[in-house]
Amino acid sequence: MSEQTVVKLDQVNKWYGKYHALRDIDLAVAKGETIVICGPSGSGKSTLIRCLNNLEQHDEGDITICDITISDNVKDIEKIRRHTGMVFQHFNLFPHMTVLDNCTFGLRHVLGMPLAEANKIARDLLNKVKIGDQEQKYPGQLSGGQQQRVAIARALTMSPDIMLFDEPTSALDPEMISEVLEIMRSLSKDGMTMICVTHEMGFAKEFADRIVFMEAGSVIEISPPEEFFVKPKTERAKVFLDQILAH
Amino acid sequence: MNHQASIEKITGKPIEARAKKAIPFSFSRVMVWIKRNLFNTWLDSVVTLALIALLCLLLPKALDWLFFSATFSGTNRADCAPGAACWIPIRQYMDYYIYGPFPESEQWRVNSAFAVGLFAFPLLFSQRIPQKWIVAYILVLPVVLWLLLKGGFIFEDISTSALGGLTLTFFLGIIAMCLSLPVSILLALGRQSQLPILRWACTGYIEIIRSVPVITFLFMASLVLQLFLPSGVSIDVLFRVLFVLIFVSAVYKAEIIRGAIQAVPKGQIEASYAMGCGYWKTMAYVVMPQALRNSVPALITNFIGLFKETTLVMILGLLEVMGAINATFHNAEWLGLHAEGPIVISAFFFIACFSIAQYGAYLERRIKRTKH
Repeated sequence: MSEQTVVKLDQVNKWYGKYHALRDIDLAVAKGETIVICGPSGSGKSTLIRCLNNLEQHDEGDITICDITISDNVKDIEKIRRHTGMVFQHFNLFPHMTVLDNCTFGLRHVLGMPLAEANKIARDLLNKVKIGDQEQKYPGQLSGGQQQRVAIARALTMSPDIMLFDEPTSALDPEMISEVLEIMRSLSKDGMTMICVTHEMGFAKEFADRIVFMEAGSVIEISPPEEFFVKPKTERAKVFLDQILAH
Repeated sequence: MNHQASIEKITGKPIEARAKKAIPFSFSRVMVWIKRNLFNTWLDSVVTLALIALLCLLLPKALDWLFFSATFSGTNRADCAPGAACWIPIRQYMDYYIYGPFPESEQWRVNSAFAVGLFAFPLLFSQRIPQKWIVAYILVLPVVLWLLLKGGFIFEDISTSALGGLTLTFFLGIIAMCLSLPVSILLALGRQSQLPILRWACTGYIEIIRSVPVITFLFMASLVLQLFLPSGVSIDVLFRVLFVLIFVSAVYKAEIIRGAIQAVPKGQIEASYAMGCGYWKTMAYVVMPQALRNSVPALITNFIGLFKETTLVMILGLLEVMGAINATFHNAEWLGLHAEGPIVISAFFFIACFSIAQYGAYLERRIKRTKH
C-alpha cells in the first residue's frame, strides 16, 4: 500500500441473503482525491460507501482505510470511523440537541474534549459552512439545506482524513442543492479526500478526479470526468448518461 | 437569542410586547363563545342542558353531605350528625395516617424524608439544573429514604412493623419508581441486544412476569420464598415487597421503552456510530434521550399505576395509608362509617397521582418547545 493510498478495496463482495450486492470491487483512492460514484439505483453505490466505515459489513475481500483493515475488532472499526466523516442523505442530525451541541457531540463524547474547546472548534466550522448565527437553534427549525450544512460541519469537527457523502443532495429541494454543493466544492479545493455518491453530474464534471460507474454491484468503469462524460468506455454508462443528462 | 434579536430588528418592538397582546374581553365575545361551543346544534344543547341539570341535582347533595351538614369536631361517635359525613375519626387519627406506628421520638426522620422527597419538585421543574444532577438525585433518593425511614449506617434501625401510613406509601412508591426506571431501561436494551443469550433471557423474563398478576408475586414473596431459603434465614418483608414492585413494574416500562427505542430512526444510530461513538454512548446520548421523550405519556401512566399498586402490600400485613385508614373504621367505636375512609383515601391518591400527571404534562410541553 503506497503512502498516498488512503482507501483500498480488494475483491470486496457482499450479499444480502442470495442477492449479490457487491461483486469483486477493487478500488484505490489516493490522498486528496475526489471520487464520484454514480450509477443507476440499486447498483450498490450506497452499500459500497457504507461498507467503507462498516455501517454495512462486507462478506469477502479486504477494505483498508488509512492503513487499518476492517475486521471484527471493534476498536479498529471505531478508529476507522474517526478517520472518516460521513454525510447522509437524510442529514441524521440529532433532533434533541441544538446545532452547536450536534457539532460538539463527537468531540466531547468520542474524544473527551472539554466543552469550551469543543465549542470553539464547532463554531469555527459552523462559520465555515456559513451557519454560525443559527447555533442555538434545533435542527427542526432549519431548512434542509441548512441542516445538511450543519451535518457536514458536524462530520468535519472530528477532522477526518476522508469524507464520505451518501447522496447528500438527494433529499433537498432544488433551490437548496447549490448551497450544499458549494461547501463540497470548497472542501474538494482544500484537498480533502472525498468519496461521493451523487447524481449531481455538474459537480462530478467540475471537481471529480475520477468517476466510478457501478451497475448491478460491479464497478464497470473508472475514468476521469473528461473521458467519462465525453467518451464513456461502456455502452451501459452511455445509456445512463443519456438518461440522466436528458433533463 | 439571536433569532429573537433579529425579529426585534425587523418588527421594531420587543417580542414580548407582541406576544402579550391579548384579545380584549367583551360580553358579545362571551356570548359568541357560548353559542358556538355549548349550543351549536340541537344535540349540543340537549347534552349541555342535561349535564347542567345533573350537576345541579347532585352537587348540592354531595357538598351538603361532605361539608355543610358534616361533623368536624367532637370526641366520640355520639357527636356525629346523622345522614352526613363524620370526620372526627379522620382528625383524631391524622397523625397515625401520616406517620403510622413510627416511634414518636424519631418522627423528625419521616419529616426530613418528606422534605428530601419534596425537593424533587424544584429539581424536576427547573430547566437550569444539569441532567446529571437529576439522574444522580433519582439514584440517591432511594438510598436516603431507606436510611432515614428504615435505618442503617448512622441511623437507628426501625422495625418494619413500625412503618405504616403515608410514610410507608411514599417509601414504597418513591423507591419503586426511582429504581424500576433504570431496571426497565436495561431490560429494554437487553431485549434488543445483539447477544442472543442476553436477548433470550430478557425476553423470557419480560414475557413470564407480565403474564402473571402482581398480587401472585406478592403472595409468593411472602409465603413461597421462605420455602427456598435455608431455615433461620429470612429477608425483611420490606425488601421482598420492594423487590416485587420494582422488578414487576420494570417489565411494563421496559416494553414501553422498547417501543420508543424502535421508533428512533436508524439513521440516528448510524450518525453516532459514523463519528466513532460506541454502543453505550450512542444509547446514552442519542437513542435514550429521544426514546424517553417519546415515552413520557406512557411512562407517567405506568408510574401512577405503580404508585397505586403499593396498596397491594396490605395483603402482606403492611399497613400503608389505605390499610391504616381502613383499620380505623374497623375500630368498634367507628364501625359502620363506610364512606369516609374511601373518600379520604381517594382524595389522597388523587392529589398524589394528579401531581405526577401534571409533571408529565409539563414535561410534554417542554419537549414540544424544544422540538420545533
